[in-house]
Amino acid sequence: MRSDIHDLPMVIESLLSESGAAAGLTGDDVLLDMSSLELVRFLIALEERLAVEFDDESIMNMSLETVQDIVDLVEHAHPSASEPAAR
Amino acid sequence: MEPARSAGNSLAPAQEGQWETMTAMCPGDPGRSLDVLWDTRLIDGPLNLVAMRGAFEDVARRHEGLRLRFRSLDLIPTVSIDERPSVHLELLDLTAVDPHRRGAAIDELVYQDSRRYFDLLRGPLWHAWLVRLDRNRHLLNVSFSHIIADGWACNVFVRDLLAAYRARMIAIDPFPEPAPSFAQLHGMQLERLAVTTQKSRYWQDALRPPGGRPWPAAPIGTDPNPQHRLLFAFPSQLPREIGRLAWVARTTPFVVCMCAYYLLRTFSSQERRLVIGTASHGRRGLERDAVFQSVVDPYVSIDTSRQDSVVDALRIVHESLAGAIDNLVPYTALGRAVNPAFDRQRPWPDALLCDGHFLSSSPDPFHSTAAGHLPREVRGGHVDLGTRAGGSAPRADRDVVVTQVFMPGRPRWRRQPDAAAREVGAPRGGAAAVPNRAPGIELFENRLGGSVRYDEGLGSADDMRAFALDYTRLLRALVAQPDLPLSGLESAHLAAVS
Repeated sequence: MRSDIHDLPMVIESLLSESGAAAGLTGDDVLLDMSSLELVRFLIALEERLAVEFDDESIMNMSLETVQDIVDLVEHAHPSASEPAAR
Repeated sequence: MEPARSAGNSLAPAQEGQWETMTAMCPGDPGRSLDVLWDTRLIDGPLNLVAMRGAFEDVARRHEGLRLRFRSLDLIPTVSIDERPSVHLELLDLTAVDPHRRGAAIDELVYQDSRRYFDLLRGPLWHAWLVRLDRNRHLLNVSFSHIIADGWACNVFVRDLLAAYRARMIAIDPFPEPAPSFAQLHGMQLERLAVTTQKSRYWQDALRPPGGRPWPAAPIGTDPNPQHRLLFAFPSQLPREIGRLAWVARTTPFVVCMCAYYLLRTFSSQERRLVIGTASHGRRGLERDAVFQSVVDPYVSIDTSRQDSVVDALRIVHESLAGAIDNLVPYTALGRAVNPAFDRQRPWPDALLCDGHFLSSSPDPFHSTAAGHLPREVRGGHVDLGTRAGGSAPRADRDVVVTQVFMPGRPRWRRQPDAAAREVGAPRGGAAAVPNRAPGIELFENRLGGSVRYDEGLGSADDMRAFALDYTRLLRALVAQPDLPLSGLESAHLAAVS
C-alpha cells in the first residue's frame, strides 16, 4: 500500500476534482455528489492511485455517500498485486 | 390570468425530448397527451389545513417550474414564468364514507389524476388533492405535467412542502436559500448538455439507422408509453449476487441487470447490436433542489460478439452506457445529428431510435408495509415540530409522519391521449411505425425486482410472466458463470427455456 494512504483526504479531493464530480458539505463531512457510474469510476481510480483493492463484501455492505465513507472503505481494502498508477 | 414576469423564453434543454413526445402524441394541443407524473403520500398526524394550504403557496413561490406556462404551443414553443403562485389544491373529506367505498373513491381519484389534462397556455401545470380519511390521516396526491417535472422533482416537491409546513407551524423561515430560477436551470442544463461536433459524431455512429436506410417519419397520435406493467421480484439471494458480480466487473448492479436484458433480447432476435433506451436525470449541485424536468434519455448502443465472456459483455454495456451519458445533448441536437430529415419530419420523437427500454425509477411495492387498503410504505418523511430556533417547548403531539404510498390495483399505466387529439394527430401518409417492439423493464430503485412494461400487442400477461421468468433465469446464469463465453451462455439459456 502506498504512502498516499496517509494523505487520503487530499487524494480523494484530487480525484474528485479530476473526475469533475461535485461534492458538498454535510455537517463535518463532505457529501459525494455523483451517479453510481461515476462512483464506480471514482473507486477504480482510487484503487489504482492507492494500489489497493476493495473487496465486494465491503462495497456491498457499506453506504458510500460521503468522503468519510470512502475513508472507511479504504481502511478495509487489501493491497493490490499490481503496480500503482502513476500520478 | 396572472401577469408573467418574462415572456419569450424557450424551453430548457432537458424539456425538449418530453415536448417532442407530447407534440407527436397530440400535435394540436400537447397538453392532451396526458403525460402526467403523480406522487401519492399518506400524512399521519393532526394536520393543520391552513398551514398546509399556505405551504403549497410557499412551494409554488419558491419553484419557478411550478409557475411555468406556455405562450405558444408550436414545435419550438415559448414559455413564461408567472409572477404570483397559483395553487390548484382541492380538498375532499371521505371521513363519512365507509372504508370499502372510500378505497374505490381514492383509486378513482388517483387514476383520474394520473391522466389529468393540463391547459398548457393557462397553467398551473400541477394540481394537488388533499383527502381527509379520518381525523389524523390524510392522503396527498400531487400531479404534474411531465414537461415541468420528473421523478426526482416529485421528491423535492414533497420535501419542500413538508419544510414549508413545518416552518408555518413554528414560525420560522422555511427556505434560507432560494431555489434556482428557470433561467439558472436553463443555463445549467445548457452547460451539462453542451453540443459539440464530437458528441454529434458519437450519436451519428451510435444511432445509425438499421441497414443504412434513411430514418422514416415517426408515428404521430400514438402513445409510446407502455400501457401495462407486470411486477416481479427477484429470488432473495439474487440481488446480492448481482451486487457481487457488478463489483467483480467494476460496474454497477444496474449495468448487470441491463446487460441481462440486452442478452435476453439478443438471444431471441439474433441481432448482436441493439439500442436500449434508458433515462438519466443527471442533476448536479443546485439542480438537485429544483422542482423541474431534468431527464434526458441516453440511448445505449450495445454490440457484443459470441466469443465475449459475461464479464466482457458487462464491461461493454458499462462503457456503452457511460459513453451515452458522457455525450448527452438536448433532444433536438441529437435528432439533427442522427436524422438529416429531422426538421422536415418533426415532431420526430425517439420511438424509432430504441430496440427496447430499460429503466430504473419505480419504488418497490413488495418490500413495504401493507396496512389495509392504502399504504405500502416506500419512502417516508417526518415533520418534527419539536425543535425551533429560540427554544420553544417540544410539540411532538403535532408532528406528522408522511409516507409515500403505492396504490395496488389502480391502473397506473392506463393512459391514452385524448380521443379528439388522436384524430388531429392521425398518422401521416405511410409514416406510421409501431413503437415498443419489445417489452421493456423498469427496475425497482432497491434492485430487488422490477416490472415488465408492455402493450397488449406484444403478448398476454402470461407471456410477460414468462418473459420475467426468462430474464431472472438469465440473470442467475450471469452471476453463476461470469467467465462463460456468450455463445455458451446462449446455448444454455435456449436449452433451459425450450
